[in-house]
This record gives sequence, structure tokens and C-alpha cells, in this order.
Amino acid sequence: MKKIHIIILIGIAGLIAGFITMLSSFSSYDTIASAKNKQGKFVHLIAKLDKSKPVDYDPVKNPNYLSFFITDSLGGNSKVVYHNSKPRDLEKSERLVLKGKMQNDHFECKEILLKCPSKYKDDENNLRKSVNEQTNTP
Amino acid sequence: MQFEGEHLLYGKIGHLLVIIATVCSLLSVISFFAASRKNDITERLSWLVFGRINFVIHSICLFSVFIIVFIICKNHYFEYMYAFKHASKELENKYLLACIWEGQEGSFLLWMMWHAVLGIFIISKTKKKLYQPAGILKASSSPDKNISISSNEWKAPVMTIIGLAQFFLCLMILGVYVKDVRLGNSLFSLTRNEIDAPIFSQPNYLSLIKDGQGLNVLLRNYWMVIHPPILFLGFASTIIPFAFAYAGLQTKKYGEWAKPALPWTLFSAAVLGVGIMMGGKWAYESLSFGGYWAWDPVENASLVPWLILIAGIHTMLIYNSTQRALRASYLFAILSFSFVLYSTFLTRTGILGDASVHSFTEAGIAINIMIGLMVALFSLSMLALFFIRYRKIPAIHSEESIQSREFWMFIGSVIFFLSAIFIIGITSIPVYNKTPLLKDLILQYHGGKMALPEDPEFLYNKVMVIAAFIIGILTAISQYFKYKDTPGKHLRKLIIPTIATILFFIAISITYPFLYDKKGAGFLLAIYMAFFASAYSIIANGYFILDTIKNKFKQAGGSIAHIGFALMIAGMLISSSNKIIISDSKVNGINLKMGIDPITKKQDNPSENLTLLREIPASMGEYNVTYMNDSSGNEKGRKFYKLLFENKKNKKETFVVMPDIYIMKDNNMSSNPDTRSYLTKDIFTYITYALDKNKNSGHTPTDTDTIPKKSIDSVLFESGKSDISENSKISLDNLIKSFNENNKTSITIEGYTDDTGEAEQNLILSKKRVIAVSDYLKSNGDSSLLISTDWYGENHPKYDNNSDANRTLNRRVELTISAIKNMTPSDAYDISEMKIGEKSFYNNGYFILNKVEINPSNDKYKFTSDDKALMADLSFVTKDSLRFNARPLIKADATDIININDTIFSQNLIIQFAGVTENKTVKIGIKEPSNFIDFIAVKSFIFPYINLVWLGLTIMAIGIIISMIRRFGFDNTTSAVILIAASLGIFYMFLLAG
Repeated sequence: MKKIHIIILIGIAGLIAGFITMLSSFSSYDTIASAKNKQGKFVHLIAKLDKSKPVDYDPVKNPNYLSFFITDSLGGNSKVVYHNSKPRDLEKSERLVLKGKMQNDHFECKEILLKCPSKYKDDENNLRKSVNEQTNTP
Repeated sequence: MQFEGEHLLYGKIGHLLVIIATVCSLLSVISFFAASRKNDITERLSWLVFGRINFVIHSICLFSVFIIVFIICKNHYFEYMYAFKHASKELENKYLLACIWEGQEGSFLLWMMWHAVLGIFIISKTKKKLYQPAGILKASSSPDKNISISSNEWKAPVMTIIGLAQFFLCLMILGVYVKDVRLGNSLFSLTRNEIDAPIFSQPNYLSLIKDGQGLNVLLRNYWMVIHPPILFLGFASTIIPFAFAYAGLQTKKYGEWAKPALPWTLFSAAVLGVGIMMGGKWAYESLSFGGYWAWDPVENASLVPWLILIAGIHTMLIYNSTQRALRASYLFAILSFSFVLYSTFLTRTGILGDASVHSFTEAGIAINIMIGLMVALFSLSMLALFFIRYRKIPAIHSEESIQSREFWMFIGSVIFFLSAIFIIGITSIPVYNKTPLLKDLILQYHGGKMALPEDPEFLYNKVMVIAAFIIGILTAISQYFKYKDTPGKHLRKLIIPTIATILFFIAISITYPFLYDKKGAGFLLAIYMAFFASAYSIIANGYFILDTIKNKFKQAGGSIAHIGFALMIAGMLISSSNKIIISDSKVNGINLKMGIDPITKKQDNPSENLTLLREIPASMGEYNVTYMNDSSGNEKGRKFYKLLFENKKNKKETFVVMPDIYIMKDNNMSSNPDTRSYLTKDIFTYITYALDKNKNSGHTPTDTDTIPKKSIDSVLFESGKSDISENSKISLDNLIKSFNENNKTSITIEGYTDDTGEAEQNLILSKKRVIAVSDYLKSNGDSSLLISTDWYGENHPKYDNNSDANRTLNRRVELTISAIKNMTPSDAYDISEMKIGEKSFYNNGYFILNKVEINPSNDKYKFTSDDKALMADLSFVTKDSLRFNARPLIKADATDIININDTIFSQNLIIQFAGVTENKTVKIGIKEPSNFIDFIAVKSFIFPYINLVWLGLTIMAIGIIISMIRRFGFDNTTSAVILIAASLGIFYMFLLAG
């Protein structure tokens, strides 16, 4: 066993040990219902904006407060509070990925990713829509 | 059916060329492989010549394909899907190249073109004297033949690998059907075949398609024109060390490949390093995530091969000097290209999904399988070959001395390698979630698909900061060791730089300490350690150049690269640890109430956005910032917001930044930051929210009406011209005289044309007119004028274009002049002095002062008894009996009085707590702008010493290039040309441009 081998092994062992200790800090993708069971734990939610309920954002009063409601495919629903500016096209989004924690009655959101219907050019439906829009309006 | 107006010939030729390129690449692989297996020299040579011919034809085809795609996009032939998807008529010419490599197929083409260029360099270059292994030389007769045979030793196996890669990449863009499965996506597929829409049953469908989708706005940036080619050259060049490793294994001349492969590896490291940081610079300049590096999967995927290349360079150096570390050199040469392929897999198959902002979307299952196959074939079979031959690869079994250079260098390589493994391990989380067996394990034990933790950047940073520390120390000391063994007294040379570093470190820690305590004392300590190591590396390598290398400039490459690397790390540590968010409400003393984090029990305050009402200064760090106005940009849907920064203390420091918002055709929005750069810091600002004022109508001229106009002037032009007439010059001169007196003047210049000629041409003409006037004002008047410009072409004519007289009046440039000086808020407010319970009137009703609170603590503000803040609670009642509440506030700190105004948005009222009079009445200011209140929300950061990052990168690249030049053995002239060109290019790109 050479010194260099020992050092390499220590490096690898350190890496593995580090990875294992980090493992618990990794987040997970959850449904609204399962997130409610993990109060205070950082999770990723995949949900939809509930369009029947109000989106509250008044940047003149406070540019760092947005609240809205979400539902997911399993029928769960929740209020979301996001202390940041409102992402444009929130209302138009098809799907939301929300990162944050469930806190009592609401989901305290740290980051919002929007999946907008038109975000991806490669989507064939979208291309078709673009063609139709152009050709229908003279 | 016969369709009208299509240009099908281009596509047919293009597709044919792709097929020829594919066939030729396959033939070249076969011939090069055969050549590498033949022992007979004439036979070998004939195979080689055949392979070379095929490779050259293949390369010519690729370049021709590129030219055809360029023509298709440039001429907007929307019958081709690629042009329809990526080009558009409004796209400026300079972005044409960017639109070609925006798509999957185009970027594959770019990659192949670089392989082709590198391949041609290899088949022609080795003709000259690059490397001559001993052996079979003597058998041949003519001296010319001798040389070519000697270098052929490497040429054939190296080209086998490059040809094979070309073949696979060609398949990706082949677009040929095998039964029902389409093999590859062609660049020349037709829109009508790709999209299923009723319109394509009409023969004249092309005349109905007005425009293509255009280039994604995030990519409309000059970095996007130059960054992908450099990055792809970096990716493409990693194949050469890989191919040399294969050559070593295949020819069983196990050790000799490391020497000729080393300069290519250095080349690859320099280009890839620059390419990665160009991506960083692009992100910094035009994306709004507020930095140059975000540990995004796509960024990581390009960083990992680079880290492994650096590891490989050092093990090859060890091998060339001591015959050690050969097996590690093999491993790193194989893995760097393997990880390039793996990153292709990650970014192009859609597997990253939500995890990355940059990745391509899914391109179809067939392509995904092909990419997967290519990754597996290259990486796995080479690794298998490596392990089969592992025992035969010579290795020295004795132990190296701790006092040898190779010992410390090897440890450094291992650190680089482990860092790479760590980064790719985390980046691959989305892959784990989709790997069959692993997926079930994760679901069972993790309780749901794995996702990155709350602060993913910190996850990387806390590991990499330790790696930076170790690497810093190793790069500082290693060069002071000699290969094999170092006499003890030699190491005494380290004493001077060590002491110098300690003194420097203490001085810096006192005068400019790191303030990043968000992650606790442990991480702060790690930052200090990494900074110490970087400083040590800079000083020790600098001293090494002065003391040991002296004027042997060519040998200084390594030391220079180390200095650059350390400088870059130091710049990263400073600019991110001491970043200040000046739009943060904390910094501005507005204590908005926030939730308490249930885990850390700390006050959570992510309120980094600040709202700026138009024309009303707000306090931001050491600046008062005013949102002046907005103006349209060159492209439709782009809007620039003019923000005036005025330093509170140093009145001379005022500047304007113009971040913009771009609403694309598909209604996506991109917010592009603007940065004020100083030598020691950058002030970085972007818009996080803006009112969508003109959703339907493009620009409405009334937009700018909120500024109290002083005067409007106009300059008329001759038809089709943009020269300023002598008469107009006289009136402009008079104008200049008038505003020299009140020195701060803001001018909005708006250009128009009549309706003769093409609309597109008119837009350009109106722009020219605006620029002519603006240049005239700037060159003849005060250069510090605040000029904003806008042009509309034939839109918004002042008069109907129904007579020549009216057309003359429409060929105009309008100047709106306003003095900013007169716009301090107190002037604009209507002040009422009130006592508690009193009533006062405004235009649309009355308001009552309910109470005044000292240091309020409620849902809106949170002050403690230490503060000096007064809040007025007011009720407004409109004529139609609507009731509103407003709570403006006034706050004093050591230096300044800050007004935090309230607004009743629906009533268009701005309410200010203007002060308290001597007899204890309260002064309430009311402002009722005639137009609705316009505002934006912004984020603004200060990045201190960020230029060190760019300077460090530049120095590192130059160092690596010096090393490369030395090992390629170029003559002095060639060396000087390469070095000067590369240095100027990199320096210009990172430190001067933009």
C-alpha cells in the first residue's frame, strides 16, 4: 500500500461519507397531500394554479408578497405564499413546480418554475398553433 | 399537389450531401482501421490515402450543408422546418449564426464541423515532423515516404476514432426512414410534412405563413453568436486525447501516445475553459439569475470534462517526466470525452426535464436511443478495452517520495477527478429517478423521487470550497519540488512567498473581511481558507517565475496558468461572498414583516425586490434611484427602462442603466439585466415586474406624457433621407443653448416616416433619423445629456398620409425635452398640514388623518423602539363614497430622511408623509398624476471585484496556451502569432467588450 493509495482511498471515503450525510438533506417530489404530512420539510410540488381563486399581488404595496391557490391531479389543494415578485404568465401556466415548505395552512414557497404551454418551440402542438394563428388572421 | 413558391432544390442537395457525408465517414473509419491493422507498409499507406480522401470529402460535404442551412435561414425559406422554427424576418443578421446552432440538428452540425477541422489538422499536420517513433521507418525508400509513415503510426488509429464519432453524429441528422422509424432529424425536413395543419393542403400555403418562430430572445446576445462555437470546439477537441489513448491501447505502444497527446489536451483545456466561462459571462450579462454560475446541470455537464482534462494534463506531465501515472493518464483521457458524450446525453434527451433551464427538449425516442447508443459504445467499449489491457500498461511499483513533485501533482489530479465525480454524481439525480432498479429503491427509502435540497448551490459550494483550498495549496507548493526527489534546502525557497502570503492575508482580513455568515461560521472559515490558498498560489507561483524560471518565458506556462486559476477562484470568493443586494428592503431600512423559519427560528427575509414609482426617487444602498421612463427597443416587444442612479454622498456619481424586458411572440418574457461596471465592482440591475401597459397596441405615444413636458420640438426630413438640413441645424443649436442653462435635461427623441416605401425600410429610416439628431445633440451640446430614443417607422403618423404636405410633416423626429431638476418629489406633491382627526380635500374626495404611530409594528412595517419612524394612518373617501386606507411613513436614520410613500393604485394617488411642522401638525403630500401611476419592481446587486474572475480566466487561458505552444514545438514566429492573437481575443471578449 503506497501513501498515494491511502490518500486516494481517504478521498473516496470522504466523498462517499459526505454523500451519505447529505442524503437526508435532499428534497423529494411530493403531492400536496403528502407534503401536508411533512410539515416544515422542504419539498418539490407539481401542481396547477387554481384559477377559480384569486391571485393576490400588489407590487406597489409590497413587491415581495404573492399568494395564490393550487390544486394537483390527486385533488389536493393549498394556498401558496411566495415572498418574491410575481412571475409573469403565472395565470397562463399549465403546470407549476413549486419548491418550499408546508406551513400550517399554506405552502411557503421559495421558488416557482413555470411550465407554459408555449415555452417549447419543439412542441408540435405549439408549432401548429403558430401556423394556424398566422394563417387565420389575414 | 404542386405547391407554390417552394425552393426544394436546396433541401434536395443538402440532404444528398448529408448522405454522402455519412457514407464517407463510414468508409474513412473502415480504411483508417484497416490501415492501423496492416503491417505491410504499402498496403497501410494505400488504406491511409483512401481514408484521407473520404475524410476530406466528408468534411467538404459538412461545410456545404452548413452553407445551405445558412442560405435557407437567411432567405427565410419557411417551407423548411428549420428556418420556420429558428429564423424570423425581424431577426438581425448578426444573429443568423446563433439561430443555426439554437437547434439540436444545427448544434450537431457545428460539433461535426469542428471534428472535421481537427481531423484535417491531424492528417495534414503529422505529415510534417510532429513525432517520430522508432521502428518500421527503415523499411521504406524515399525520405518523404519515411516521414509520412512514421507519423501514420498514430494517424490511423486516431482518425479511426474521429471518423467513428463523425459517423454516429451524421446519423443524428440523417433523416432517413428505415421502415417507420426515422433515423435522425434532418435539417432539411419540410414544414408541411412536419406539422399537421389544414393550411398545408393549400397550394399557396407559403404566402400565408408570414414569419418564422425566430430565435429565442435569451439567445439574442453577442455571446450567443461566439460562445457556442468556442464551447463546441472545446467539446470536439476532447476526442483527441481519447483517440490517442485508443491508439496507445490498439498499437500496444502503451506509453508513447502521452507525448503527442499532451499539447492537444492543453489545447482542449484552454478552449473548453474559455468556452465554459463565456457561458458564465453570457448568463451574467443577459440572464436574470444574478450571477455567472448557478450549478445548473448544463453548466456542470461542461465543467466535468474540463476538470478531468486538467487531471489528465497533470498525469501526462508526470508520465513524461517520471514514467509514472500512465494508467491514470489513460483513464482521464478516456473519461473526459466520455463525459462530453454523457453531457450530450443529459442535455439532449430531455432527461433533465425540469431540472435545467438550458437543456434541449426531447427530440424523439429514436434520437434518444441513438444518443444513448453512441455514449455507451464509445465510453463503455473504451473502458472495457482499457481494463482488458490494464495489466499490460507499464507501471512503476516502487513508491514515490513525499518530497517529489509527482507525488503532490498526482494528489492534485485526484482532487480534480473526485470533484468531477462529485459534481456529476449530484447532477445525475434526475437520471437516478429514471433508472429501473434504482428508481424503486429511491421511492422506497426516500419517500418520493429525489430532488435537490433547499439550497442546491450551497450543496456544491461547501464541497468545492474545500477542493479550492487543497488545489490552491498544491499549486502553490508543487513547483518548488523537483521530480523524483527534492533536496531539503531547495524547499527553503518557499519561505519568502509563505511569509508574504501570511502578511497579505492578515492585511486583507482586517481591511476587507468576508461577510458571508448566512451558512454559519464553518463555511465562512472555509471561505477564508480557500482565499488564503488562492493568495498563496498567486504569490508562490509569481515568486517562482521571478526566482526560478526568470526569462525562460516558454516554461512559465504552468505557473501563469496556476496564477490565473487562483485569481479566478479568489475573484469568485470575493464577488459572491461580499455581494450586496442593494434592493433588499433590509438594506433600505424598510422592515417588512416576514415569516419566521420554523427550522432555523430565524427571521426570514427574502424581500429582494424594490418597487420604483415613476419619477420618484427611492433609496437603494448608497444610491437614490429613479425610474425615469421607458422606451421601445429595436425589436418588437422589447422595452428598456431608464433608471437614474445618483450617489447620495458623491453628487458627481450619477449614471443611467437600462435593463430591459422582452416579451416574445409566444408571450414569454425575458428580463435582461444592465450593469454599470467599475474597475472594482459591478452594479447589476434587472426588472422583476413591470406593468403591461400596451398589451395590444405596441407603443402608445401617451406613454411618456407623465413627464411634465417643457417643450416639444421637431425636425423635418426630406423624403427617404436622414440628413439634418441646415435650417434644422440652426434650430437644434438654439435648442442646445436653451438647455445648457439647466444642466440636467432629459430628451426623448422619437422618429417617424411617411408611408412611402416598405414598412421595414421605413423603420430603419426612422432609426437613422433619430440617430442623426441624437448624434448632433451629443456632439454639439453637452455630452452628459440624458437621451432616450424610440422609432416607429410609418406607425403613429401625426397626420393622415393623404397629401404631400402631410407626408412632409410626417417625416419628422420629435424631441421631448424635460428638466429633471424640477422634478424633486416635494415640488410635485400637494401638501396639507393636518392634525389628528382633521379632514382635508383632494380633487376626487377627502381624507382624514386617523392617527400617527411612532415606530409602528404591524402587518406592513416592523420597527422597534430603537428606530425613528413615524407612520400616518389615513382614510380616503372618494366622491362616489369608496373608502381606502393609506399608511405612508417617514423614517430618519443617521444620515438621511427616507419617505416611504403609499399608493392607492385604483385611485391613482401617491401619498407621502412629508414631515411634521413646529406646532405638531403633520404634513401630508398628495400627488395625483394625470396618467395612471407607472412603476416597476427591480432587483439590484453589487458584485465587488468581479473583474478578477474574468482577468483570472484570461491569465489562466494564456498560461495553458503558452504550455501548449511549447509542447507543440512551434517556431518562434508561429508561437508569437498564436499567443498574441489568443491573448488579445480573450482579453477583449471578457474585459473590454460589452
